[in-house]
Amino acid sequence: MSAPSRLQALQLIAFGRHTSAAALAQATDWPEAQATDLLAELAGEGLLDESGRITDAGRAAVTGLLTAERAQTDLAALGALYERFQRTNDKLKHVVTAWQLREGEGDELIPNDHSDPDYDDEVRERLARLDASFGPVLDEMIELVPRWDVHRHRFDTALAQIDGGDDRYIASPLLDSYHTVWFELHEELMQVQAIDRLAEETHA
Amino acid sequence: MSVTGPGAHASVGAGAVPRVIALTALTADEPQVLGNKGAGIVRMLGLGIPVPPAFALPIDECRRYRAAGGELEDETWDEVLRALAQIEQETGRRLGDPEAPLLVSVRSGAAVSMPGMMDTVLNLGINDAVEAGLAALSGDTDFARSTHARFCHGFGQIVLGADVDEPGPASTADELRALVLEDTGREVPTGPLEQLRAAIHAVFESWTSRRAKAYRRHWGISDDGGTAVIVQSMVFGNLGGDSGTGVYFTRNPLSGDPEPYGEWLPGGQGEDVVSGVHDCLPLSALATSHPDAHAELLRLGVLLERENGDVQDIEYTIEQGRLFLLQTRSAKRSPIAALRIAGDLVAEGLIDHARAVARVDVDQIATMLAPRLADGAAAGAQILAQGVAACPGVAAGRVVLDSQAACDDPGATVLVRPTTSPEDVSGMIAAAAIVTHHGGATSHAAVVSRALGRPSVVGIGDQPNDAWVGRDVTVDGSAGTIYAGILPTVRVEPGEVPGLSELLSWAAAIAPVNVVERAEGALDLDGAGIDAESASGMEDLAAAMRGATAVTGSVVVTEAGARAVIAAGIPTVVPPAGQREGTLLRLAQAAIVAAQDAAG
Repeated sequence: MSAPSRLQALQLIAFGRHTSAAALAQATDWPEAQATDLLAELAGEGLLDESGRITDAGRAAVTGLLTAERAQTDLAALGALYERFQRTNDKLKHVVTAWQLREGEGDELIPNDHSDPDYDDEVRERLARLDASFGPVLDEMIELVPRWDVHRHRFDTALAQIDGGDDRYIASPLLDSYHTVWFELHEELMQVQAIDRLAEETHA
Repeated sequence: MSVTGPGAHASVGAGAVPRVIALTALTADEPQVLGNKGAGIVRMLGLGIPVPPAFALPIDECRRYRAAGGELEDETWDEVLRALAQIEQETGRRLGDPEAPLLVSVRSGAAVSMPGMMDTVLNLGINDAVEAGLAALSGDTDFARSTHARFCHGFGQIVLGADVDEPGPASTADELRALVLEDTGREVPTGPLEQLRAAIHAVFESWTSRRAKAYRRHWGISDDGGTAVIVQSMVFGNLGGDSGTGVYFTRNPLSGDPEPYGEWLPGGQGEDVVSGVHDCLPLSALATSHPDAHAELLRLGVLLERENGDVQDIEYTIEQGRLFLLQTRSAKRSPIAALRIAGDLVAEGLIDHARAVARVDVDQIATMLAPRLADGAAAGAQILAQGVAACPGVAAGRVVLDSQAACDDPGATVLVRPTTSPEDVSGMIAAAAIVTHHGGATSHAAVVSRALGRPSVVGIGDQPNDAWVGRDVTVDGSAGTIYAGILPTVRVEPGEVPGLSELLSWAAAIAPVNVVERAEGALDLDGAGIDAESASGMEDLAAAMRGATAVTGSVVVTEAGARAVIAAGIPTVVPPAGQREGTLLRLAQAAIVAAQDAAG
């Protein structure tokens, strides 16, 4: 793992769940002592409030750090990778939706009540195959934006939890589930490239 | 019990593990030698269950394979051939013989089941000559062609790592071979022994796949172990008369009635039943045509149900009068059947109250009891917007346009956003329902709302909503409609669901907690702003609950929250509105888990 990145820490905190050093260290695979020091430093600069949440000054700092990072990033290469990401993005959304909904009588979609182990296994397997095929794309992204190696760790952790029988790691927004990490990576990709989510979704 | 393999072998207990082990009723049932699937086959044989003949390359062979630099040693391969010859003798068929073809499956099996291990390859041993032989023997060229095509697909996908579409009904082996070659640059071998050897290699290689390694690293499992390989003969219900295949449930999976339930397809082969192409007969038809096999099947079903303590879903095949069980597992079932079966299994003494409670799916029960619009409530109500129904259920609240406002008043608001971003998740958790202007049924907002169980409507379009702010609205996430005002809802009462009241009474007896409508000074855990699922969530909850005698909040209906309440020994819990049943079941399940953990 690379050394803790201030920008990456602020991003994860802004996304809402990693406000404690323990949680941050677990998500990123950074040593907990370093995560503790980094959070203290960020709080000392007024970028985090007393409960560890990001402040307005923290958001302003993120904007500044992102601008600096953008200037140093090969955006053409990242743009090409983003196109590959988007193709997988459609697959991921369908896999996660298949986990939550399935076809009932007729074509109507009904909640998946998880009473069919074969169906659920197939969905888990589709997710694992997607992860395997997306792996090389992520590796190339990490070469362009090294701080994203934390996402590699988070994807691996989510998959290992799913493989260990904890299906919440497929889609739960309360955890670093596969979908959570995917969605946050998507947000990060758009931020580094200065793409507007609303414009993109409206366009889509 | 000493292990008897093909030829003379030392017993496992004596130290040297044979390179190949025939699986028989007398084989030692040792998962650390045979892997979990091999041991499972041996256990079935030990119960007198007829399963197709099989042999295993034990886990030690995986180590030996790695030590040899990814090669199967000649001595091992010789043993494989000897074990294969024994199966050929037993079945009267030979691998690659068009006159009497033997086909086998190859699967992996570690001591504890582990992801990343190779999936099963079926129908190994088929090639053009064998396809022609199968067509002649079965009188069914379509079956022979599709068996061959499916083999090429499976082998390409699983052994060669190809990513090609499932073969259609008219696909041929040649087409699949071409697709696999195009995708991987590698040929599906046509020599049966070559196929077998490549599949065994692939199983051993899968031990060191990236996914398997990441899994072991995460869970602290050593890389030193390995996986066994199970080679098993395939049986056919369509080769010769007096044959067929079917599925048998030990109880009705729709109603839960304690009656045998299932299908019988004379002259059919595995896929035929599942695919629904052919019209199957009811199981009772088997009783008429093959009374002995039928009686034996039912006897084995009862045996397996008692052994496993649950309703079984059994795939069986009769090959020339001989019954084989191909697979048995816990049956999937409807929510109604789940409750009926849990009650019946307790009454029959197969399981105790704790196991019945531990087994219910709390989310399934919650969905059954979820509120819906009262009949006629929507008539005359003003419809504010219509969009894509993204998460079923009905909820009402005051409209807010940003996540912070939703967080400020948990459970009382409807969050309306253009789209949602990761920073909106906290607001979505706090809101009673979620609406977005853009996005479809697979959008982030839809996925998150379903994961949270919050009724939601997405993609209502670009209409202005400033006028909505602060208004009360009702969101019907099943119909995709947003109504003005708070409409009346109804819910199914637990007493109306057969078996639920009884289950809840067992849960109440198991949970060392009173679940009551109100309690003086109950501590609201939602107010403490703790994320129970986070790394430190359990500790944070424990700290927040210190000294409390009663707690409440939506967190108590989560698994983690219920575990924290039980661990803290809180005597009284006030459930969130409308979630008494779910809370009670979660707390009982948490108490059962805690008791198991304490027992080690």
